[in-house]
Amino acid sequence: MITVRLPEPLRNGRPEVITMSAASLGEVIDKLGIDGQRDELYNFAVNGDLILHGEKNVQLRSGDEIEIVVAFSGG
Amino acid sequence: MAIRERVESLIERLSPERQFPTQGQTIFVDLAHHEIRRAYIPRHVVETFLGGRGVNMFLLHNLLDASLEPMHPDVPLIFGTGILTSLVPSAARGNVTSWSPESKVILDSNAGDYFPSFMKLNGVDHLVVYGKAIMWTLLQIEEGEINFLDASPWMGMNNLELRAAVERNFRGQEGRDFGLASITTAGENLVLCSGIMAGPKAIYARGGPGAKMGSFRLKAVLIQGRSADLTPARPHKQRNRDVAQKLLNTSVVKNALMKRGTPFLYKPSRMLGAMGTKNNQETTWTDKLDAENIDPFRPGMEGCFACPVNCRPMNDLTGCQHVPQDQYIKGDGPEYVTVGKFGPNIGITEVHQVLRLNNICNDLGLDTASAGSAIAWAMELYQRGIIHPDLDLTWGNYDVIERLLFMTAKREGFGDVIADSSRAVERGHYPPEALEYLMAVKGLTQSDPHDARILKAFALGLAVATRGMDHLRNRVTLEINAKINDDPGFKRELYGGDVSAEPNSYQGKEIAVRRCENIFAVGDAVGMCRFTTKLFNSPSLPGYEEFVDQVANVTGIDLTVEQIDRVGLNIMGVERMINAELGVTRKDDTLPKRWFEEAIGVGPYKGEKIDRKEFDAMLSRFYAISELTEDGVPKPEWREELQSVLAS
Repeated sequence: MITVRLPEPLRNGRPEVITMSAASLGEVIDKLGIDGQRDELYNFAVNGDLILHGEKNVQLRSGDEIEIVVAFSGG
Repeated sequence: MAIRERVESLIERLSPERQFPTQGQTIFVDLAHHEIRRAYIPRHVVETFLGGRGVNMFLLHNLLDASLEPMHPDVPLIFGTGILTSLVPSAARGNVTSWSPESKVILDSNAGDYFPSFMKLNGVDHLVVYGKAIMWTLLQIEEGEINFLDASPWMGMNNLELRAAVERNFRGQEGRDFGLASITTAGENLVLCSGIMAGPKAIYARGGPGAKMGSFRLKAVLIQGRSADLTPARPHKQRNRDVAQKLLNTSVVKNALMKRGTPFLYKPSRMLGAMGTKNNQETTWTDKLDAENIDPFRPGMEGCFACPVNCRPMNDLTGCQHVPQDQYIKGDGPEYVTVGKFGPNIGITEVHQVLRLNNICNDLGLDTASAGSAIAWAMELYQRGIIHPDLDLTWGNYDVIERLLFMTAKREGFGDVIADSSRAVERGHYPPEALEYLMAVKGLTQSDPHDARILKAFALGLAVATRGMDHLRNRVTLEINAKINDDPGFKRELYGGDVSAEPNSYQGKEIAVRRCENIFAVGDAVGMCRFTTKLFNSPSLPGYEEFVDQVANVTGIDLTVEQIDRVGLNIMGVERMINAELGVTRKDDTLPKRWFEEAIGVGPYKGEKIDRKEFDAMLSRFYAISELTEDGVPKPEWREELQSVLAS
């Protein structure tokens, strides 16, 4: 199982932290049903490492912790 | 030719009459002789550079004598307001332009809050000041009249005290009744890392504008009332509603800027291993400074003139243990830059300490980017045993850092060294080897705390920015967004060419930097806030389409999207022409040595640094698509075109 931490705008009634089984980030995105809803503001971080590209192909292992981070870089 | 002759010569080529509805005057103020000249910028110049930063550069190019020194009273300081400032939502900005005493290249700094809007509201598009006043002066502008007031009553005041005194003395409220641009004691003392305050926090920060204004003995410019006729050429309010709606519907605005402001940026940089730490010796820091940890100290958000976004977080440390309950208990900010520069960059881990240092810098009128960088540089030199000051400059030594800020504003003790910012070696404070550890480009220390060894588009932007090492000129911020990186078609559409999906690749990054540099320059010319301009944090914010429509509505000047994009390129072109006159060449479009030689030590991009050969090739490609020669100046045919507008 992996753990996913969701930011408030993407929860849709779900708790902040949920668990699921998934082999890749692409599968997590499908299961959360947020691909269309999620805009460019949100990036995934896997075990604390921010993913900047190729996110759907990132392979996961049981125990991985995923966080969806508000990611912007101009301020 | 002396400045007065240059002004005379220029005025002959300007227009005595308005060139379009809503155009304000360009006012030339000779502080030494109390003489005022007024004119209007000709229409063909407006069509080439629009306004704000663009027209400021037209004026500087015509008035600058490069044989002088930046602080010479014949080198003018130019305030400019955007062509749409105060007339379109989130367009509340203006620029101040000169020759920087800090970097020794162009000084060009942007601020919001109220001063630029009050310039526009009173029919002043550009204010050019020169000449050293006989006594310290407050320039008062009301109903088109300009008064030279003796500034003695306000001398020695810092920002909080001065703004309160002006409200009392002139019986009004800033933002409602007047706009004020002023310097603090740091500016009076010619501190190179001091800015011109345009509000409680808003600051024309970069390049030492506070010192430049102080060198004229000009304490403040006060603009009162709303006397201008700003009737637009065509109705513009409906389009304004579209612009406001677009702003408020954009995710980065509603989910980040309106909630916590820019401190949100700290976390992704930290997680990426790209957070400049201890003068960029390290690249990650504590999660204690993540934006959510500032929540308990944020009573609300504020905004600039007529901006619906309100992205400025306030702070209140009342009741916080170990914090003195003095005038710095509450304040405006911090922005991400200040969190980074006064957090990881100098070894501070506690939120309340960052907030207090932020409030002190706001009061002292210090540019947190330059002041924070100068302190971090000193701390690394101390760590390496290169300098031996009478202060303990150990990383994170909060009490010393706080004291050092006040010493800097007064140029007392080691504060005199920090006050000389990036020029500390040149002024004999440090040995030459200290330059090995200075994180600066073209004499200007880095504006933001993001370590750009990973994202090569960020690195190129910092290298080629015309005012020095600053992210606000061209940062391809969307390089951090995976969803955009993974959509090559969308990315091609955004930037007009193929840009590699991999953030650490060098391929195509020049295309993205070129596109951003153009639109951001146009944003500065129209007066739009960078945070709400397309490509800065979002592809969905107002951009050329809205700018073209509202320039047409407000001024009656019809431009195509291609033509307004060309305005952005023109502004960069004239800035490079001025810099070339000041001695800038290709070798100055580079990065700090550390980024070429030392690799990132943590995170998903551990081992990443800048490859000199790849960087140089990327720079050549950037020059090629920017119509620049291999030495980084406009190619002859384009230079001739620009020259014909600049000198006509």
